[in-house]
Amino acid sequence: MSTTTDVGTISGPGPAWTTGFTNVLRHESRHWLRGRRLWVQLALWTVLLNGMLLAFLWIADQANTTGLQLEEPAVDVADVFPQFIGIALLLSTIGVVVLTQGVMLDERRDGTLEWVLAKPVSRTAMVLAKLTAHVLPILLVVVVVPWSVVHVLLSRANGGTWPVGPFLTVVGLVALVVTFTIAFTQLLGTWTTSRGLVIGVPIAAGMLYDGLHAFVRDLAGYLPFPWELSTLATQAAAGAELTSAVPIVATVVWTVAVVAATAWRFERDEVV
Amino acid sequence: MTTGSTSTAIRELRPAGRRARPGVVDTHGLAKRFGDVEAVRSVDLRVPEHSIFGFLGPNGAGKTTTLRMLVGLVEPSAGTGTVLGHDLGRTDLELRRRIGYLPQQPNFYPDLTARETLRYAARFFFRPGPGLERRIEDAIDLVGLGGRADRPVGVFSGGERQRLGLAQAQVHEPELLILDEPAAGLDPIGRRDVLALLQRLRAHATVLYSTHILDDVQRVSDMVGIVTEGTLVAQAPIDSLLAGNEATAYRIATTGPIDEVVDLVARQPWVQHVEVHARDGRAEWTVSVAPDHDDVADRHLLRLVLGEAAVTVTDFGRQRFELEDAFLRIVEEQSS
Repeated sequence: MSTTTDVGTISGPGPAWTTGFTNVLRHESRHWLRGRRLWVQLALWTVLLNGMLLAFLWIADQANTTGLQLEEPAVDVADVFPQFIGIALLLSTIGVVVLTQGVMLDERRDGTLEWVLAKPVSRTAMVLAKLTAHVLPILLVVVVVPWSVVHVLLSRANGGTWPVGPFLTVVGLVALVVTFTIAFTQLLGTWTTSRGLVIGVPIAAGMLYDGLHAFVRDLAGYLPFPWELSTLATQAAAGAELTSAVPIVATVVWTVAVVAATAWRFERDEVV
Repeated sequence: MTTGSTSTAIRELRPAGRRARPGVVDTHGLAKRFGDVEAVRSVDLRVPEHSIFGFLGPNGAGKTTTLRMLVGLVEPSAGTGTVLGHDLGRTDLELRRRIGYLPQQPNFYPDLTARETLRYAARFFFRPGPGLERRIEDAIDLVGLGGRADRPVGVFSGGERQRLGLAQAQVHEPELLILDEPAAGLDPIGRRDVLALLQRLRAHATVLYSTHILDDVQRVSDMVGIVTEGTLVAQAPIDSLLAGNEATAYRIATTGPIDEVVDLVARQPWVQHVEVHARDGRAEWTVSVAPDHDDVADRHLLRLVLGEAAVTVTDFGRQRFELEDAFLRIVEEQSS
């Protein structure tokens, strides 16, 4: 056996709640950095979102050139983009939930946690490391790259550079929704071992909100819930001023609260 | 002695009046309830330093839950205790630097190789570098996974996973190894290797392991604890447990006529009881000796039997209980 003198021992640098963060982050990042997953997802989301945008633009073009009567006619690019936002957010939410449903759940169900948690690792650090390891690649794959291409397509269809400021606002709001969705899915993965619930609840919550939203249209843009960001994103896409910053602040607060609740729950989770 | 939370007597075969040194593990009335289910009722455990402590019990006796409480994976419902001087608690990261743990059914990430799994485990303790890689190599060699270290764990057999589990538990050379059924599911060669490994590990660690394979315990353990129905009912050095509480007994096998010599032996004042099973000129004796007369019996018993010229002694020795006898006796006593 080797001696301990030639090995750099980690003796608890920093606060206890961060112990093990780097190791778990490195370990968890393998899901994206090893194999082809990153490239496959990148291609998938870029094609999916931009294919949908192209379809919207094509329909608008057809409506203009053939006089096709649409229920909600979108006759130019400025009208198409806000309509694209709603469906893009819905698809992104579903995709992100599917991508991240196993982050906590798989370890709890597969039994790997039992030996890992016997190591000097803080459970809070584990939650944060897993969140970080998935948020950054997913933002890259689902938001940054596909929406960069969206901007290119919009600019092409517009015949000139699409206004960058409002577009970045839209992208920022989408990124916020995606981040919240990842955190929410991770929370559910610590509360239940039912994969159906972990996948179903975030998607159902978004749909339910949309349904209920119809009853409070006067409050659109003011409600303190993450799903309200869809309203703000649509406003920004249409080049309008945002009604209020309440949903943005609320989403940040909700995300922090959800991560805190995940850590709290996971700290109390017993291996049985 | 009695347990902290119940009055269940625990057989502790320690010379009277001698105070035990604090153990590496010391618990008092440790209990755990999951809803209506009382998984562990009362465990008073004392594991001496550098011992190989076999934690025995039938399936469902509460062994795994007890070990999980010691590691901090499960919070006790009642009772107190220390592990390596640290109070039992779920967030003591400093304690976890000093212990190694093998779960009952170790599951690993199927996409990682054994080497990568050990690297992940070791990096909780050490910074990356050549020293860490050397430790990983040592751990791989120790458990005999050399040829399979770079294969994905997903294709490992149960025995190989068990070996990997042992390697990850001891990669940081912990002071205390807590192993839940380390030889479960292994073939005889695998079991032999694991038992040999436990003996090697004791040089720098205390080993507390659970099992229901009594033969393994008898081969390598020097301390035994027996838990049944969630209660620790006995703990003792294995020799004391095997000797039992009964009077010393001798086992003699003879051929030839024995009636007279049986009478002779039975008349000795230091003999309590003689039991003989004779058949076809062969006889098997069990001679129980009065307390504190072992020395007399050691000196005279064989001579007495050999004094009868027509009798041939083919076997002679002190009767030794198998652990299975002791285990069954204790568990059945407790159940009744």
